[in-house]
Amino acid sequence: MKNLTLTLGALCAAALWTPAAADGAWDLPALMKELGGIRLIDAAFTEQKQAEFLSGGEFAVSGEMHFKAPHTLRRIVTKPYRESIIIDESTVIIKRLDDKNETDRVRFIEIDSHPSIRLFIDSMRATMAGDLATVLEIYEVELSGGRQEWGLRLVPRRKELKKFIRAVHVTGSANRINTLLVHEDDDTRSLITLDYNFIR
Amino acid sequence: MALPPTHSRFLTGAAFTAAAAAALLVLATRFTVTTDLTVFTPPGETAKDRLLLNQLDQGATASLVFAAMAGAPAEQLRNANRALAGKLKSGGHFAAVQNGLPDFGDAELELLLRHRYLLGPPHSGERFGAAQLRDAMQQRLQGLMSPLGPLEKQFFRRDLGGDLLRLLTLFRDQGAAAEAGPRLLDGVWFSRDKARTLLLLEMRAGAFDPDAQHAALGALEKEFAALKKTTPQLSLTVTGPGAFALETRREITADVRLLSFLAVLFTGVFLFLALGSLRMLGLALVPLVFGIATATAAVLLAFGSIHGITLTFGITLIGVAVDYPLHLFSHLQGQGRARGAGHALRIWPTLRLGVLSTAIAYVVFLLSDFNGIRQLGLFAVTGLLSAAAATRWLLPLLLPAGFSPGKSLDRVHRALTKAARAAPRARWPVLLALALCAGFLAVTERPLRNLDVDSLSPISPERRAEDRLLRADLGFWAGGRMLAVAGASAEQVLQKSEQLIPHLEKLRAENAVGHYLMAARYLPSARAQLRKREALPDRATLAARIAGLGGDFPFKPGTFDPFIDDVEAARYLQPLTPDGLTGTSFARRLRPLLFQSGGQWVAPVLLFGVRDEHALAQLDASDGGTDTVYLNLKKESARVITGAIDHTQGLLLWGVAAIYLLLAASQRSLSVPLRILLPTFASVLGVTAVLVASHTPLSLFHLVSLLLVIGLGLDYTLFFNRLNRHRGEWDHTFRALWVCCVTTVLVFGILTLSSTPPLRAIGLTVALGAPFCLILGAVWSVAANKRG
Repeated sequence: MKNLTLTLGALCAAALWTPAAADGAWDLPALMKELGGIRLIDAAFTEQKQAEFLSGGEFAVSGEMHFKAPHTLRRIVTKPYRESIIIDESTVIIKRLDDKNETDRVRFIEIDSHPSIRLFIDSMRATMAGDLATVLEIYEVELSGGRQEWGLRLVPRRKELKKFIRAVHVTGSANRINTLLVHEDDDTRSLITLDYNFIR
Repeated sequence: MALPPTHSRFLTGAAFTAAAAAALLVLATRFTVTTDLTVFTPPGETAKDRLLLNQLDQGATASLVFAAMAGAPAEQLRNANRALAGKLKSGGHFAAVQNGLPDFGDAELELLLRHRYLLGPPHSGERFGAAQLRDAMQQRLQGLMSPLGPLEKQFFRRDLGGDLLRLLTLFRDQGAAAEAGPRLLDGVWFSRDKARTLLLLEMRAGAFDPDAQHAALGALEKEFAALKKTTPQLSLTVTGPGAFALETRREITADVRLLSFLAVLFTGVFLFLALGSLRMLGLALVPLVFGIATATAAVLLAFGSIHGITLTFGITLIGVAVDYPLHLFSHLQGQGRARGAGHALRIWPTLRLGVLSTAIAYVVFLLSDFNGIRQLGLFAVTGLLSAAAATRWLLPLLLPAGFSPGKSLDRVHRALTKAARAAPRARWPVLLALALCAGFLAVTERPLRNLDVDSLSPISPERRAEDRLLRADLGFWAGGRMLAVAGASAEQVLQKSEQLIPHLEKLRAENAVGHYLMAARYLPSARAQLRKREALPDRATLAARIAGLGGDFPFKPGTFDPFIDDVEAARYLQPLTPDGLTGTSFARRLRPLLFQSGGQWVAPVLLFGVRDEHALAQLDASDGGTDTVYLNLKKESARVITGAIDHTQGLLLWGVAAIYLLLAASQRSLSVPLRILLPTFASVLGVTAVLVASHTPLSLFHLVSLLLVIGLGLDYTLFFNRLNRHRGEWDHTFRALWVCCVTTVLVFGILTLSSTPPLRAIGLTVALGAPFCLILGAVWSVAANKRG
């Protein structure tokens, strides 16, 4: 029985890897190179969260996402509230745009002041920027599919990150990330869908 | 003389042997050197003085070490820092090794979580009213839906108000403003310019355990040397009170070793040439060594310990005792023991007058309020008297038969004699020069006195600058300005500190002060904690308010029940006290900000970036049993030093009066003492003018050295004056005088090579003063030109 599982596992693995080899060296370094070549992204996004604490089981926000290599990410929520989050090299700036409470509108977070935030943001950034070495350091990686339709399964190696994330499943085509599914725990997951306006 | 001479000789020898043995016994059993500056500060009478003494004491920071590595790209520095910190943490010599923001342990996190509704800054208005809850819930929702959502999820059900995060930030940033203090690179501390990577270490060894401190710093150096093997361009800088204490001890020991070797070598060669005998060379040291031993023993007996500065200054002051045997030896002309004793008798009146007049100046010191100055007085008086006694009674017993001083330096002697005989002709030009000196001192803009507390420090200005740099890098208070709050209990001083917060915030807004650190920001008074507790709504109220918001947010009912439970639990919580922090890293953090000292509690409010001292001084107050005092430590310690110097100068005036009276009585004349004192004070004037002109304002060390110059001056002048009546002895007397002078210049000249500023100051002053005294003594010597 155990042998059968192993054999099946090996077969599956072979099945996953074979198309990549056939597709003119489509492998993890190739994907990372594609992602790493991106300088600018302008996309619409929706994020749908499923969690046991949400009434109705889910909640969604939508807005725009901008990325500028190497590490500036702007995420603007327009629905159902207005908020902008800018993540650059060392800070996270959160602005609540439609808040009447003037004093508490902007929050600065020094990324380095919070080791868990640092780790979390680094892991996110490394994937987006195609930093293969860092990605492999943080996650166990499994690539599936071919260049035109790939899937990437990322499982954190370190327990500090495991505390927050079980796994991340990314799908895309060529240099575009289409969806990101973040499994936080058994009851909580977030699906981010991107719709590109511009990519370079 | 009822006893036969052999008996009396035996008794004298026995008495001195017994005295020396007793002194050695005291030294062997009781020798304790203290180093804290507080013995040289006046007994604290006002709250200000007491608080100042407290700060000079440095007990709270004595084991801190600041370390920085530089010389490599930031990434290598970061790795080196991590490696070093890891080794030191596992090494066991350091109680704390910090190279970035603290990652709080479970104990700390639990404590903050439990007490979060009682700690933290006070808030105005309602804490958990419907409006605040609505805003909080919106924040939690946005947080959960943000890219940092998974982090937010950890605590949001318990921490609807976000209080834990606020507290964590407060405790992590240590209250420092974002623009000050270290910056982080991958979680590791760096200077603002990224040139240095930083570590803050706390030695396990106490301030009074130099061996363990030595081992700790040795471990640091060893681990660094290992890192350097892989990254050779790395450099390490280590400063801080803990490092400096050890370094000073090491440097002074090394200095003393080298300098005493040089001094023994040079003076040994010189005295051997002058005396022509090794044995006489050894004998010349007997009175001084005897004097130092008895003086140290006397101070130990009277005070229980001796201060390092007393020892250094004391030996300086009684350095004149080396001259006594030289006077005696030069009068021996191939005579035996009995005649030697006779010579001792013949020069004794002059010697006695010199010793007494020098010693009497220090008797006045015994009346001082300053413990350290009393010690110094006792040391000098005992040392001088016992050295003189040893010259008078002990030395003649030890003299070899048939000794006469060597003739090897005869050429020098003849040349000097010629010069000395001609000297009185130069009286008018010398007077003119002295008048110019006095005029210069009267009109010069240059500071005459150095009141900087740093001038008393054995640490070089370069090392102090490095220390300031690392403190600034770390955002560590550099010992500048503070508001000290003192009272009978921790609760009292915390309450008083809290009352200062609105004033300080106003001053911050007005740019009068940059930022500040105070204990009450981390640990509010019990009163403030109770006030926050009272403001918490009860379970039913809170639950109803949260249920009322339910329709506006996508949270299931019951989501925030853990929060409601926590708030309810907080309503029955006892306030956290300093004792409640025991065992967490917060206790260590809080120690310099809240401590017990001299029977009272002190809470210093450390101030950074003070721009308006006057505004801060306005906060001084005494009320309800607490004292609040604004301290500019630099200024205050300058005030203490000024006090010490003024006090010493006042005592010296009385000392001079005593010298004058003694001389007047012994000479039975009112004018002769003036003539004796003239060359001495002219020398002091000359030395002062030279020092000030060469940009060396007089520190306490220079002033004390000038006292030795006075002692030398009196000695020289009295012997010059003795020639009035004993013209036939010109040759012996003058030879002794210049040999004394050269010896002094050699010994103290070598001190100027020291790397320790205080020793350099002493060396320079005396090496200048001795020749001044000899030359001016000759200029005003009556006998010089009378003998044909």
